[in-house]
Amino acid sequence: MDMSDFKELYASESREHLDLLNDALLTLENNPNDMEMINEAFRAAHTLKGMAGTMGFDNVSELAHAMENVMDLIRDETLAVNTEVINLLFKAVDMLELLSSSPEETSGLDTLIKELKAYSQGDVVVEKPANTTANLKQDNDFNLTQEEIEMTQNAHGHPMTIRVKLEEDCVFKSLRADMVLDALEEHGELIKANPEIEKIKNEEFEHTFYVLFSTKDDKDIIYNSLNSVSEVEEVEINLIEDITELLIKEDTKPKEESKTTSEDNEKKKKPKAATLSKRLKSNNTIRVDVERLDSLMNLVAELVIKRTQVESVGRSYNLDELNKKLKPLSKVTTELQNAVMEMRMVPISLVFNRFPRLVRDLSQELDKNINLVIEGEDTELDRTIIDEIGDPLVHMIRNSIDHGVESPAKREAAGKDPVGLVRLSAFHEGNNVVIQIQDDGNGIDPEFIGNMAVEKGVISQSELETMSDNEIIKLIFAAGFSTAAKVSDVSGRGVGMDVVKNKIESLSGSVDITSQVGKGSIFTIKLPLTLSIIQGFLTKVANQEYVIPLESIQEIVDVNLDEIQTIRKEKVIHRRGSVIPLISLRNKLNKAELAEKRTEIPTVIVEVGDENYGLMVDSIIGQQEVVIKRINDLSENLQKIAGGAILGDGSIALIINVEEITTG
Amino acid sequence: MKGGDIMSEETGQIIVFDIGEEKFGVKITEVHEIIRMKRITELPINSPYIAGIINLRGDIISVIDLRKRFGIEDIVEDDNTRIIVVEFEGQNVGLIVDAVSEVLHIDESKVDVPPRSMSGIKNDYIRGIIKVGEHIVILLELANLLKSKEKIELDKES
Repeated sequence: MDMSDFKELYASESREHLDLLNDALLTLENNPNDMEMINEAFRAAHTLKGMAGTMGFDNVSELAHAMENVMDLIRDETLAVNTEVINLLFKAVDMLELLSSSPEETSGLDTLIKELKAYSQGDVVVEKPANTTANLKQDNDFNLTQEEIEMTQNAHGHPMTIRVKLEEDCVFKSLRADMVLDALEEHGELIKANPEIEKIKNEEFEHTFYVLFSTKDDKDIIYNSLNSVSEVEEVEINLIEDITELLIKEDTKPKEESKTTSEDNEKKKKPKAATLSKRLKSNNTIRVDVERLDSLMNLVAELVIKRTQVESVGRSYNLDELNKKLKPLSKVTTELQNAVMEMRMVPISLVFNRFPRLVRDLSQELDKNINLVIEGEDTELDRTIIDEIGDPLVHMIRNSIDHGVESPAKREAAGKDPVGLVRLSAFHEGNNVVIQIQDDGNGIDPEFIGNMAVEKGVISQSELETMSDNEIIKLIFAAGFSTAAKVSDVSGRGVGMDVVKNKIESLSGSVDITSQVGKGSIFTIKLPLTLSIIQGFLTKVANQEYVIPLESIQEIVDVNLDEIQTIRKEKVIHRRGSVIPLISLRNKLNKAELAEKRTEIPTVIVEVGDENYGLMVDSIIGQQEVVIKRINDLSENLQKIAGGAILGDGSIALIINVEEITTG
Repeated sequence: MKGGDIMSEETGQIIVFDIGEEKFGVKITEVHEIIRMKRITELPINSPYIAGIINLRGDIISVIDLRKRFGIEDIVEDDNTRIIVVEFEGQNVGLIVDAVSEVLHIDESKVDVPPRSMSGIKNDYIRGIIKVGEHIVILLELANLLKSKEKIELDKES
């Protein structure tokens, strides 16, 4: 691997940890006392620091270190979590993100580091709220949050506190502690540790630590198991009768208003109530380079062709035995092809997961209270659609928050909940994936839109009068339409809903709106579940690229001039005992024949029905997967071309309709 | 969209473009966008006026050479050549024009019926003419311009 490979690896791994960091900070903001979150954030920053150091990106390393210091203070509870700190940490995350892909973009870095240092060096004094949770000043005192109590109850065992004391002269405290924890894991679930697991692993304890543990086993078994670990001096186990007694007495929410509804907090807490031991296990996914997936797909496609050829040999020589054996082979290769195609399906959460952060930032910037609800994030889409649908969705959500949802004051005045709802959902419907963005804002006013449209010259006054409310609302998708009196940076300069609509339509999808003034709006995007993607072979004829669908191709050969015979005025070649008629694509496509005679002519042998034909081209380019786009020509004369495909450089390749061009 | 009643006091906006010596106009409401000339991919069809297809932000749209359509001699395209993308029956179609000059407000009541023959251009796709200052702007009827049966008539003629 050379430097650029390292850089790519670094960028994609950084991405993962940055996402973790982002999510942890988001959760921490809503649950300021969730120590696990600060630990996750700390771990992520720590890893990023290490990776950057290895790559020699000292500025990234320094920034991550500054973040670590601030987070350390939060961990120790010398610094309390509040909006300013979180915002600063988010700014740092954004800077880390920027630096990981463009390490030269260091403007603002020094100021940011200074600001972080100001916090960590105690220059900024933040008043801790009087009531805090998990007051672990007393070592054997476990004060639990409601969440932790639920976790314990969910663990379905007997809860107990265990005190473990290591021998005085124990050298490898963390090692022994690890062994103790491992031993415990075998018998049940760790709920909490005192000091926290991180600190135990870093040997930040004297000789004693406490564990809150839940197990179905008898306490004697636990006792013996732990005592059998070397250098463990004492083990004391106390069964807990009523776990709720350990609930911290004071209210755990910080004094400042939480930005989300309590209902939403409930929703957020439930998935996070996984015990520490569960979280320590890793995901069962692996990261695969997209290029490798693509090359796997190509290999499978070729395998399918070769199989077809073998099948045709079996058929033409009437080899019954072979034909019989080929049937299961055929089945397996088809399944293989389907499995590989399914690898391209990815869950829409890949796109949806940027939204919580986006909504949070926007809410702050625009002074709105938004509750973002995401549903159906497991819904799967083809990878190519996922890449393209992100931007339109971002734009629409921005629109909802900027123009749709009213300010909290306005909402209260209207008798609505001051917290606005934005619901993003995805589900399958028939052969489509449906994505909906719903808000309970002030809706789209047909009168306002109509007047705007006339003012901007999009429609005339008389046209306006003939349109229904629904048609008028749809005008927001018209070119040259923007309702913002000044284009705010939030909704983006010059990116109108018309661009969004075009993007969606280029994916063969559709977008629709329903809206009610005062109640809200729903944007519905429908996308086809599978794009018409085909594997094709790219060839060149008269300076234009043509795609021949792979499924028709038998083989590609260079035909020698002396191989060509003429039978009944038709040019043919002999191949594998059969006569294959030759067809010049230049001729069929109404192009002039090549001036100079060639001795070797690249020919694509295709199968149509039961017959083979050789299509002569100018040159072969290579195999390519393409998305078929319909061509709506107005002459209705376009039989020979099945559609168009947009190539990587934006040019159009025409897809040959093999049937028409050979037999038509 | 209701057709304009020539007798009413309507004003609308039109986009004026040049082809050869003549000026033409289409309603602004029919125009989706105006773009510079792009690489046109030819289609293997015997059409006298369909120039080919272009890639418009991921969409493939057909493009008509209006010079050919009107039977005017071809010229070499230059910096002023534009493609006017119009929306017709839910689809986008491009029209190649020499230059786009302006957007005008016109008073529908001032639109005149076109004379019987106008420099060889068939009447069916002209909905009227209007005098603007010193010039005459020929207002086009897109529906007829884009329907394929015109092509057959054109073929018959040649």
